[in-house]
Amino acid sequence: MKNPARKNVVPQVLIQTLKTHPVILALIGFVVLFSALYPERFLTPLNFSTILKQFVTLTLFALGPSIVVVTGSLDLSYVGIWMLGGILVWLLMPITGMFSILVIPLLGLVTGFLIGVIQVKAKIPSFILTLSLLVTYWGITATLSGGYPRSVREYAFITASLIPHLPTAFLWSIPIILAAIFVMKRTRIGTYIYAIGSNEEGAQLAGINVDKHKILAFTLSGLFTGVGAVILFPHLGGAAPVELNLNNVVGPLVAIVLGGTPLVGGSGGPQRTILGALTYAVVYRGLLLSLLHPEAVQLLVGLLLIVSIVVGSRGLKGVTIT
Amino acid sequence: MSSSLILRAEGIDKSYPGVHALDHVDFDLFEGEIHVLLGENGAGKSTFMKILSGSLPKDSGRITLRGQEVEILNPHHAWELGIGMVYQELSLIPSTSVAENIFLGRLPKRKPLGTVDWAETFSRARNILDDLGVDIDPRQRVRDLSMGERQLTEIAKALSMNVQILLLDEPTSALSEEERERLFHILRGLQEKGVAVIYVSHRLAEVPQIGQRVTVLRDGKKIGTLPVEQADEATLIRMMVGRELGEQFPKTEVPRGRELLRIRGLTVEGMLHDLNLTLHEGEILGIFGLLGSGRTPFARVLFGVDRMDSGEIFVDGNKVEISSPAEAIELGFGYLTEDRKEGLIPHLSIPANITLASLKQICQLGFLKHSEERQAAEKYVRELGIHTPKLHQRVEFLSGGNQQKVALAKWLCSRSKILIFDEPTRGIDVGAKAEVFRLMNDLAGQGVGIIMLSSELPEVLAMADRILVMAGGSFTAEFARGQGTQEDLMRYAVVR
Repeated sequence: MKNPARKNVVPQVLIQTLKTHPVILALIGFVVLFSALYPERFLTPLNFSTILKQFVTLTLFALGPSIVVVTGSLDLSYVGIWMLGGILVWLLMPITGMFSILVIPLLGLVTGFLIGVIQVKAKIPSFILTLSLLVTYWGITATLSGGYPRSVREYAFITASLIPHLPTAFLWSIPIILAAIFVMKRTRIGTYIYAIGSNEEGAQLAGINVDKHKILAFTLSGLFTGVGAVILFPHLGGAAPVELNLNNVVGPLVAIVLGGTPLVGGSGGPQRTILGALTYAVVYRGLLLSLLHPEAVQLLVGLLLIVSIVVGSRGLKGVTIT
Repeated sequence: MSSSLILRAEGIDKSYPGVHALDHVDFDLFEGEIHVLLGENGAGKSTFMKILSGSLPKDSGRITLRGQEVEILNPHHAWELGIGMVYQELSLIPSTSVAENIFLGRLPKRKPLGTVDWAETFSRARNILDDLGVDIDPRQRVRDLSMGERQLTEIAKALSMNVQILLLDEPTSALSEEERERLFHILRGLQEKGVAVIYVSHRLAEVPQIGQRVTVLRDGKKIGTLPVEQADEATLIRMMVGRELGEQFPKTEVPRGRELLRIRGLTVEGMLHDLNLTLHEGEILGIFGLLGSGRTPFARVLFGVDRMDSGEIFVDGNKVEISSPAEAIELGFGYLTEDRKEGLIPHLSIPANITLASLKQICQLGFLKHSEERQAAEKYVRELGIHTPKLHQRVEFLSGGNQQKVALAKWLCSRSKILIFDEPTRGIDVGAKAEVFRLMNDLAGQGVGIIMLSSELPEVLAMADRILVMAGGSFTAEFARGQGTQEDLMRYAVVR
């Protein structure tokens, strides 16, 4: 109070935050827009709970891959890990009992490591590699399950409701989000991953083992996806699905890009991805509440991805998305 | 001269922030003449060629083509005026055929659908290549051609546009002896057809072989134009060197300590040949070499980025193997790259860049300690005088001189004992230069051994305790401080 300079600190921090995270403006804009359009249905506890549920799905799928995007690569294997992990849980249930769920993080870890090694050694585009792997895992899942979704009810307790209108999966996702941000912002590995994404040659010249840390980025991605899928398994119905839902693949990508992690790498990361996920969840919900046909909503989601990629790579006027 | 004047440039002037790249340069060119343009790195040769080829606008001056004043707007416009540039970095597309490259963007079309007329493309390419007297199959892919053949393809491309003036920027730097002879033969053939050539080079031996006249630039000024009969090597070298220092670089004398580094017979097949050197504590060893002399390849091998084929490296008397930059850093090396952007992480903050090579020491169990990082960064920002609005600024927003200091701070932070400076003053202003030299002196005073790779004669002469001259991947001469003159160094740098 005594310090007059203090008066300016708060607005300055606010402006700075908005400048580096312009998606917050979009988020606020969409919330205001939808609240005004349909106040009866948007501003309800049930609706917020629905949005949070979608946020959890997007975030837990997108957290790991957003680490890979920082290196300038792409990891699309997340849905594959969740699907194959689910069916492995169903298969192992009679043998290993409640421990079966641990197979999902293990699968994520191994998958991420393998992708990393193949990508680094064979030097092929990670997009094609991980997309192929996604399709392969889908195929294995469908084969193992005999073509039917297999339900496992034992883990429903994980997401059992604790607080009314607050999805328990959301509570679980908090420590996972914090862990991902911690790895990227507070560890040496995180700094090295940013350095590689920003300037690979420079990272090498600073003595960083580039190949090793690229493999580590994919491994971390797989691990975070695997841990997240433990929550997502009961969260998304406790069954191992056999149909690949394209929405689950595209949504997290939108969250990453919309959050402000450029696909060329070097900046962004999990802390931005959660903002992107929240914004996307709000937009998606708002559109579903509208009179638009569900197919038209898909169309808009596709357009949203394109727009956010363009904005993310070129920046908005007066705003540096870096 | 019996033939007629085709191009005249008068008072061409061009400035960049802090650099007067061209200072009212006059130049003329006759039909069927090969005019050699000589000069040290940074003398203004490339800028002049870029202005003539339309890729840079001039600040002032007049260009007359066959008596008519012209304003060259862009490279395409230059082609239309009959001026064709063959770049040092070849602009061909490796995966397509020679013929496609020659006619790129203007492939012959076949009516009515506008499809490519391949028969026409290949036969016209064949004709052009035959005219040149070159035996290259127009259907061959460019990636299967030798460097010399690629160069000739570039020239064919220029000629396909009816070029009257051909600009060649160091065309022989990547060619073998035989390919060079062939290029000269072809250029003489073009000359007979009346094509005029401006030929940039710093190989003095080539001048009498190919040119009729030679113009020397130095510091953006034209020093003079001579017919080749009067242009012996000694004269040309005298014209090229003799640049004055903008100010004094105060060199502090440091007693030479024990031996830090010894290199024996370092060789990379076809690039570096049997390099030997020693470096002592507190010594600044200058390595002077022009573009393509092998300075940077040498630095990269020494720092473990690229492999050597044979040779031995001793650090503090112990034989070492350096197979990665990480190992080099461990042994106490630091490397400031020629291109600063290569050595910095633009998206990361000043503290992150400074500590990047020493995070293993600063971290505990892999967790960052932000307070220690900040302390280290604050120390170097203060000591090196890095000017920044805030400590956590991203380095991409810093000026060139400050970026250079951050890059240096990274190696001070990792306690380098052997520092390799590759062109330490490239692209920074005079004030920042003096500061970089002051820092080099300070470091030498603290017992650090410095290898200074440079193509700037005055700087090497002012700063180095000992100078090795490098040309064609070999050390061609060694001078103790105060022994060699600019002429001496240049003589050994241009030998071939």
